[in-house]
Amino acid sequence: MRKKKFYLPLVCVIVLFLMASVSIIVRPTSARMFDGEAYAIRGATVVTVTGAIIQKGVVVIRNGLIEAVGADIPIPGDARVIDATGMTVYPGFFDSYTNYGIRPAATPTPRPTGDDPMQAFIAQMTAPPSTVGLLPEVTVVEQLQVTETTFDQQRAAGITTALTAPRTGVFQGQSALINLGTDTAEKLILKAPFSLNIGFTSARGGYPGSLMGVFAFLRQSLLDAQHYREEWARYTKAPRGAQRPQVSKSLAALQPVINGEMPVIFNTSSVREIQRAIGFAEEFKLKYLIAGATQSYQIADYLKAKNATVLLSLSFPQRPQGLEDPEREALRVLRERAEAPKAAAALHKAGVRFAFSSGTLVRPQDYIANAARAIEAGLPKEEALKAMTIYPAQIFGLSEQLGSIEKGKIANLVIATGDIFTRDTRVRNVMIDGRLLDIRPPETQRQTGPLAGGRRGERGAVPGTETPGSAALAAGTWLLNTNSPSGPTASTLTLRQDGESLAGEISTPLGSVPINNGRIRGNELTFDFTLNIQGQQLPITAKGKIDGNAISGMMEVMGQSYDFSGTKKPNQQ
Amino acid sequence: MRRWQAIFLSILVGAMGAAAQAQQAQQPGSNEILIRNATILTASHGTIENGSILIRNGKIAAVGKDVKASANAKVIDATGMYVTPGFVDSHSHSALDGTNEGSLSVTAMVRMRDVVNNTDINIYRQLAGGMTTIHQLHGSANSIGGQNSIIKLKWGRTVEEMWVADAPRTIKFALGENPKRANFNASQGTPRRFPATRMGVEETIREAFTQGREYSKKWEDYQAAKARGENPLPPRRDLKLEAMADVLKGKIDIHSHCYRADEIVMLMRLCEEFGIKVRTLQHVLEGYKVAPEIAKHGASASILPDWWAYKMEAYDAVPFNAAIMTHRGIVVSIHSDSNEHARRFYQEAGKMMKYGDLTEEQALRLVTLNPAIQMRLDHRIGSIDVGKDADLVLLNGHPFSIYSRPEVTMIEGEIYFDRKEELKRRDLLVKEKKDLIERERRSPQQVQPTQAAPTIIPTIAEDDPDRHP
Repeated sequence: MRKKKFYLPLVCVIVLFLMASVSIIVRPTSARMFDGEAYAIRGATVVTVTGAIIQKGVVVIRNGLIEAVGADIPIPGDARVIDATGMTVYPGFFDSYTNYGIRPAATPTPRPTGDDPMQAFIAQMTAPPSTVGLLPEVTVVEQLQVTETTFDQQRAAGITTALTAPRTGVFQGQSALINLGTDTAEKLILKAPFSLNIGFTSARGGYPGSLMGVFAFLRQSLLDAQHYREEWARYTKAPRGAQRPQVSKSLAALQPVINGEMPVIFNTSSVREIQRAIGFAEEFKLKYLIAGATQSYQIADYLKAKNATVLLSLSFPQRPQGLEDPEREALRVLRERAEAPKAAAALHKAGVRFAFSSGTLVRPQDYIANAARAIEAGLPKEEALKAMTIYPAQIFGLSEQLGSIEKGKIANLVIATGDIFTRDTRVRNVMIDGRLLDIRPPETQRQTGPLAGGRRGERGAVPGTETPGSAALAAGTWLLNTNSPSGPTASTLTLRQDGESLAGEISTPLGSVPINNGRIRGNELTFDFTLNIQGQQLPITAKGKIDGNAISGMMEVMGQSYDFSGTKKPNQQ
Repeated sequence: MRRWQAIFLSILVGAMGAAAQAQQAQQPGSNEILIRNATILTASHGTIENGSILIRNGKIAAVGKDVKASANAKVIDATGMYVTPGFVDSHSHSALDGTNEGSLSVTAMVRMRDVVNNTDINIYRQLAGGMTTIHQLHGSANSIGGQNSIIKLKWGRTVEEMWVADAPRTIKFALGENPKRANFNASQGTPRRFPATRMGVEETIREAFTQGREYSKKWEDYQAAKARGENPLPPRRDLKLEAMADVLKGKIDIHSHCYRADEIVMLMRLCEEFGIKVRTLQHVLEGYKVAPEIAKHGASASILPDWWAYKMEAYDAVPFNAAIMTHRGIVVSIHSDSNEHARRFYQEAGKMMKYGDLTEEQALRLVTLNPAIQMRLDHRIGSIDVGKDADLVLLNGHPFSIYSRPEVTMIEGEIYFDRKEELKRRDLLVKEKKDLIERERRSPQQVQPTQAAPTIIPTIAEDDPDRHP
């Protein structure tokens, strides 16, 4: 079934691909018709993950699937040959917990009633608190927004499959497992929904407004779901003479969760967050996975005893930028920074099942670099590789399709110039669903790298002296959603970056205005703007963090804070 | 077959048990600690000069002048030292990842035990001040706040190990300025949360009690129908009303933030109307004005010793509050309500000998036995008596001298703070920090991109003549 699904669209897309000559890999002059979509990668060191490493191996790919793999196998006559002599081929890497490709669902901003925008604004501000982050029925599939370039940076790091979900609120959404290709979202989905993702961030402007509130809210939601199940079971069994229960989208969405059919992924970082999550899961007998868990090295044995599965974040804590006196940091914080890379080794030693995730990593290319740091910190190299390939495939129930180079599996492959954990190794190509994709330079380097800096004559942007995060890119057009009390409000932020200073404008339902005092340090940006509503000045300050193509933060209006998140509008060039 | 297995197993288990016992028997007293030559302030039965305390398995096994320990007992020579019960704070907000769920006026469903932070450095700082047990309260932003938590300050242990397992359930109420002004500063256009007056606070609590009573009734009806052999749909569980119903059944104790005499009397009357009692009035600055009424109701009082005039409703506070209420027979405790005061908690009690002539033991009880009584934990903490938990503080002088300081703090016979060890460790910690900073300095960029900007290189060797490797 699944195999068939990829076949047709794949052919169409590849034909289009060839016709449009966008690919640099296939030279336009040599475009010719092939009988099927068959490739043969030859001459490479093939790291199959589940079997032995094959020197000078051949991988044959047809119709999106791996047809054959071995040392001495014939190359079909219709296959296009990729000479990968001297290269190393890996199965595509998983990122087991991210928020790639998501544009928060924007509900249309209520049109101002009448002609008085101030009234409309007040109406918006006084509306009942937002339900964003409180609805378990929200699915990530509805929020996926993928273009050709959306996953450029991930592919440059060899990441071909991801579990993606937003990371705000309590019920953060039902996640999706997707291939990071260039197709439309529908064609990329491997499994959706996979899990219900839960975080411990309280909603703004209403209940729950605190961490204890979040737990009470979660507990009540699951109790209500149990009651709903009982109510409907009774009604379905004997409807005659019985009152028909009410239908609830939210409680219906929680049924697979309370029945243990759909796992919950808890978004955690500290030890006590992990323990609270597990305590809660046990209270309701939930199937669960622990994501993030950067402090899990402290409780590896506990996690083993609980038989927990960890989607371990490779986003290691970093020294805050602009820290003048390092003495002012607590020893505990310094220890946590020193210990975080050891987490994977600790979990492995304790026998805890885990897979790597990028967590809140700003630059996808750090994913492999940080996995290499985990190896330096004691994790066996083959385990690190498995934590990016076969382990996540097993955890997500995809080990029949992905996670290794084996006959019949989906042709998600990485062609690298050598051992992936070695510093100078580069990813040359990735293949996703049997489609060979070229690698574009990561956007960060395109825009603030030496070239861009030289061209624009940036101040202070000397490559190599800047801390890595400051390369984070603000320039471009951002589509934002602000969680105002009346629900998400869409706006567009256009930024120009010159070193650390930002200029641009923001376009909101209440008008477009320039931004002031725009600054970016590392990946953290601040700016403010003033909306003019019928002669009334309404100053708003914003503070945010850029995370690849995603942005999130807070806007402060008249002493109230509202969180916002958004994505970068894909570059058209 | 099965039977034989069972018999075999039981023999095996029995043998193992016996072996374990034998091992213990070989080391009699290895689970014993003897503190000797101390001045012991028991908080329950006076002062013992040159006394000893024997601790066995974390409990106080003997106290007195003439205490015998096994040869293997660990001995702490406390010559020149004072020993008091570990201090108990009846009103703390330390070691929590949250204070107020202020979004609603009644949030009885939230529980502070869900958000205990066992890594809060204030735990260790308070241990260094002799504190061993704290009552972690919800804040006072709303008329009925959340359910509180009681922990022992077992620094380095898990949250589960810190919780006092048999502690009663308690809930925070709040009267007066805080619950009615919680959103005075709400942004323009935002409706203010009800209530906005003291009358409104009373009404909010009465309404919550009424709803709790109705909720109880619903469940009683359900149980009755089940008892009649019917098969009714159980009512929806509502965590807020479930807590309110438990308050009305006396299963959850009320600890209420309050200041003014009129509202103190209001709450006691309101509770009496529903057949329940206020367990502890918190802050209770004007308690001295209505001490007979409080005593008659049977509430206890947990107070700030000598704070006043920091807000309108605090203008009539007097430092004699503790003494006046104590003389009226009310169980009075002093609380910190502050991470900072909690570190030198014992000094606060000393002040009460000055204001109102409390005896030394009465004053000491304000921070030991009395808060334990208020938290219904006096069967195991709060005084140095046989059978109680060995939660003890060894001070280098009398606790009411400002020159004294705790040298050792133990909980259940285990030392969690030892000043000598702390001072020894300090150099190591300083060095560790220096090393870590130095290590980071040597590699300022923690993360180096492995992948330089990749260039796009065609890897397909097109038109390979024979299409074979």
